[in-house]
Amino acid sequence: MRFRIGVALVVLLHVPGVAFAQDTRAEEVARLQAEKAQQLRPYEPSRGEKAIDLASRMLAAGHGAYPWVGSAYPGGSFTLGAGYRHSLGDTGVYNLLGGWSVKNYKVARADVKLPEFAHRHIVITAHGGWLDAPEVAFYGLGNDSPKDGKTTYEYTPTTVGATGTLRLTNWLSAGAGADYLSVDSSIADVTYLVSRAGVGIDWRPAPDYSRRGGLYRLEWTSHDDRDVGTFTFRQLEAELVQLLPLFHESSIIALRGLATTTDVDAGQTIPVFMLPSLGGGTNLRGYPSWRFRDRHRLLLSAEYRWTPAQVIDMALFADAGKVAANRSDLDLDGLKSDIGIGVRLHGPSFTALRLDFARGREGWVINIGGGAAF
Amino acid sequence: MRTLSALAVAASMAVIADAATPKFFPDDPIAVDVDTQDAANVGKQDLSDPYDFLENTFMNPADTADMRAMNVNTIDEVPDSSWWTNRILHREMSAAEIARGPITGTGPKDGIWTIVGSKSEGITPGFTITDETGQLYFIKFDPPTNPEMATGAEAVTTPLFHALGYNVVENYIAPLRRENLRIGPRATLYRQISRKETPLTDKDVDELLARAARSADGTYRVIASKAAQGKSVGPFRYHGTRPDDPNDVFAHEHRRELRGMRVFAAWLNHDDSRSINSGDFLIEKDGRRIVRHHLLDFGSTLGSASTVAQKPRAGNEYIWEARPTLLTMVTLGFYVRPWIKVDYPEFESVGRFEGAFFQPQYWKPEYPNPAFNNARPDDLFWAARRVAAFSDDAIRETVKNGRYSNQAAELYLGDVIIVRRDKIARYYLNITNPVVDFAIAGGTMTFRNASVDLKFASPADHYLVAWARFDNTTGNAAAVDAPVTVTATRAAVPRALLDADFIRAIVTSHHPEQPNWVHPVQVFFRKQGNAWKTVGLERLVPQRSS
Repeated sequence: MRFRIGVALVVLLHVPGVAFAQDTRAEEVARLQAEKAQQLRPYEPSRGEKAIDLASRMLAAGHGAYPWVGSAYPGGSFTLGAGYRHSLGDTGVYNLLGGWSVKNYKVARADVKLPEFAHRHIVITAHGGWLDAPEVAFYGLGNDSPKDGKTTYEYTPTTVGATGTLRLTNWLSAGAGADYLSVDSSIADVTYLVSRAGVGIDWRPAPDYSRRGGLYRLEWTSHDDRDVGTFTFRQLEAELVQLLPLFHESSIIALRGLATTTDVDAGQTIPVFMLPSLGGGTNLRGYPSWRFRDRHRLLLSAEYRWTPAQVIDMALFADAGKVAANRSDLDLDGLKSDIGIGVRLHGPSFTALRLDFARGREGWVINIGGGAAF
Repeated sequence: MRTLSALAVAASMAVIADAATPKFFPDDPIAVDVDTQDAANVGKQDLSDPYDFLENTFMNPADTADMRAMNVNTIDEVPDSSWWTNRILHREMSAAEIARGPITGTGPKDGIWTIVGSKSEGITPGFTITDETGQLYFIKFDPPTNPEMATGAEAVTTPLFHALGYNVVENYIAPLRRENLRIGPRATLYRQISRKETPLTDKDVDELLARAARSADGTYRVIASKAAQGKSVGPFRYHGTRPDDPNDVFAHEHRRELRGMRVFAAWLNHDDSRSINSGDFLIEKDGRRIVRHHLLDFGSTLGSASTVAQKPRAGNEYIWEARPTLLTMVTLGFYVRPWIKVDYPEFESVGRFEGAFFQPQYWKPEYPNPAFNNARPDDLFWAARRVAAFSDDAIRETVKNGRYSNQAAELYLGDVIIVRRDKIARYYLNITNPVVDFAIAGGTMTFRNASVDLKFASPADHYLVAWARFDNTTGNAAAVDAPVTVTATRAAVPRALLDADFIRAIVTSHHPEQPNWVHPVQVFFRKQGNAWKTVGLERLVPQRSS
C-alpha cells in the first residue's frame, strides 16, 4: 500500500498535469530526489532472501557441518544424519558422516581424499566405516527363492581401506586398493583382507547425472578370509552403461548391463552377506532389497527418460535379471523382471532425489534415494 | 515512507484545490534527468542469485500497475540520465561509430599482464589483471568446445547496447600468451572446496587455462573488459528502487529503458538479462557523487551461453514453466516443445542462434523480468524504433568486432541479427499507432508513419485528426470542428486555432490490416512567437487484459 501511494505521488508529480510550487519539470524531479534523500536506508534483505542465501551457501559449502539424508544400507530405509567435511590442501577433502535410519540401521563413515598430484592424474582415497544393520533381509538362495521365505539377520561390518586411482585421460582410469573388513553377523563372523583392482572408461559428463556418454568398467576383488579360513572368494564384475540421446537430448534411452561372478577354491564358501544380489533401489527395482542372492548375477536395465523441466527428469524403466549358482546359468532364461516409472530431481551434474515406482511379479515397490539409477 | 505517503495525499489535495496547475512546464520536454542529490552514502548491495530466480519465478516482487512509464518526458521519450544516453535514432550515427561502441582506447597494452585477482575455480576461467600501464581489466576466455564464441558475443553485443543508449564497459578482444601472465603478490583464488581465498599459484593458472580455448599458435583469445569508472556498489534490481540512492526515484519496473529492454534482449538473445548482469557504480559528477547504472556481461547473448553454446530453451521458455512441464510430463515426452526441433547451423564460433523460428513477441529471458513484463505497447514501440534504426551496414560492421576466423560464420551471424531486427520492427512498430515526429509549420501539421517509412507496412488508408484548443492551466480541451480525414501524413491546422497558446491534436490511423493503428495518439503544441513547438505526445494504448 505504501509503495502504491509512493508510486502515485511520483506519477502525479512527473506526468504532465501535476505540480506544486515548482515552476519547471526539472524542479519537480529535484524535489522528489530531495524528499527521498531524507529517508535513505541501506538495503536490508528480507528474511526469505537471507534464508535462501544461507541455504544456497550451505548446499555449496565446501566445509563445515551439514545435514545428511540418504541410505545407511540397502533395505534400511530413510536415514537421517549429519556430516562434517573440510578441505585438505587445495584438492583434498575429508568427510565424516553419521546417520540413523527409520529401521534402526546406524552408520558412521569417514572418507579422505588426499590432495591430487602428478598434475591431478593420481588420486588417493582412504575410508573407514561402521554399520549396524539389525534386520537385513534374506529370502534364501537362488532365483526361485520364495517371497514368503524371508528371514533377517544382523549385519555389522567395520571396514578400513585405501584406493589409488590413476587417471590416464579424462575418460580412462585404472585403480587398485585394499581394505580390512571385519564382519560381525548373526550368520557368521569373518575378517577379510580385500584386494581390489579395476579399469574403466567413463565418458559421461558426470557420473551422477548425464544425458549422453557411456561407462564401461571391469572390477576384480579378492576377499581373503583371515579369520575362519573358509570364506575366501574372488569376484569379477563388469558393467556397461550407454546413454543414447534423442531429439536434441530432450529424451534419452539409457541401457545398462551388469554381470557379477564369483569364484571359490575347493573347501571355501561365500557367506550369504557377501553374495551378489538383486533387488532394491538401483537394481531390479520392482523387488525389495536383497530379494535374490547367489554366486552369480546378471542384470539388464533400460530406461526411457524425458525432461519435462530443466531440473526434472522422468523415466519409464524396465529391469530384468537373475541370480544363479553356476556361471553357466547366467543366461536369459528365467529372468525376473519389473517395470516402473520414476521422477528425478537433478542439477546439471548430480541427481539430488530419485523416486521410482516399480512393479515386479510380487507387487509394488517404492524406491526413494539420491543419486542416479545408473 | 510514511512521510512520502502523507505528501502523496497532500499532493492530491493540492491538485484538486489549485486550478492553476499547468500540464506543461516551460522546460518541457526535458532532455536530461539530472541526479541532484549527493549519493555518497550508497553502500554495496549484494544480490542472492538463487533468491532472485526464486523471487521472480514464484513470487511477484514488482508493482504490476498498467501505467505509462514513469520516467518518460512529455513527448514520450527517455531523457538522458544516469541510466540512459540517447544515441541511435536520436542522432546520426555512422556504421563505424556504432561498431566502435564505448571504446576509447586500444585495450590492454601488449606485454606483461599481472594477475591481481581471479574468479573462483568454477567452470569459467577469468582473471583480473593490470597491464603495463596499470589499467585494470577483467579477462574471460572462450570454452574449448566453442572457440571465439563467448568473446565474439561480447565484442558484438556490447557496442549494440551502447548504441541503443545503455551504459556498458569497454570490451576488447586481445591475444594472450601464457608466458606474458605474471602473478601479482596479492593475487588469490577462491577455492570451491575450502571456500577460502588462498594465494594464486602458477599451477592454478595452468589449470584454469586448461579449461579455455587455445589457438593453434598457442595464444588464448580473451575478452578484456576495462574496469568501469567508479566504485562498484552492486547490481540493480529490475523492480523497486535502491533505498540508499536518493536519485533513484522511479521504480525500475516502470522505467521505459528497462521495460523496452525486453525488445533489445529479444533481438540479441540476451536471455541472461537479469540483475546479476548489471552493475551500479558510484562516480563523481558535477561535484557530487551519483550512481551510474550499467549493463554488464554479454557473454550469454546471441548464440553463446558463455561456457557452452546457448541451449535450445534459451529465449523460448523460462527455466520453470508449469504448462509445458505438465504437458511433457503427462505425454511421456511425446509433446515436444517446438523449439526443440529447431536446427542450427554448425558454427562453433556462433553457437545456437537463428532467425527463422524467432518470434519476438514470444521471446523470454531465463526467468521472468518484472520490467519486461510491465512493458506496454508504447514501450515496445519506442524500443522497436531503435532496433529498426540499425542499418544492415552498421550491423555487419559491428559483427566484424567478433573477429571470426570463419567468414561464413560471420556472414551467418550478421544475417540472423538482420532477420531478427526486421521481425522485431515488423511486429512492434505495428503494435500501436506508429505516427511520430509531429511538427507544425506554415499552418500545417506534419507527421510521419514510422512503420510505413521503413516499409514494414503499406500506407494507411487514412488518418483521422481531431483538433482542440488546449488550456494548459486547467487541462481542458475545447474541440474545434469535426475530426478531419486525411490520406497523407499532414493536416491543415484549423484557422481558429492559429492564435491559441496550446493546440491538441488526436490522431488515429486506419489500415485494414493493422488493427492496432487505431490507438489514439495525443499531441500537444505550444506557441512560441511565430512558431510552434511540440511539447507533448501520449500514445493512448489500451489497458492490459487481465
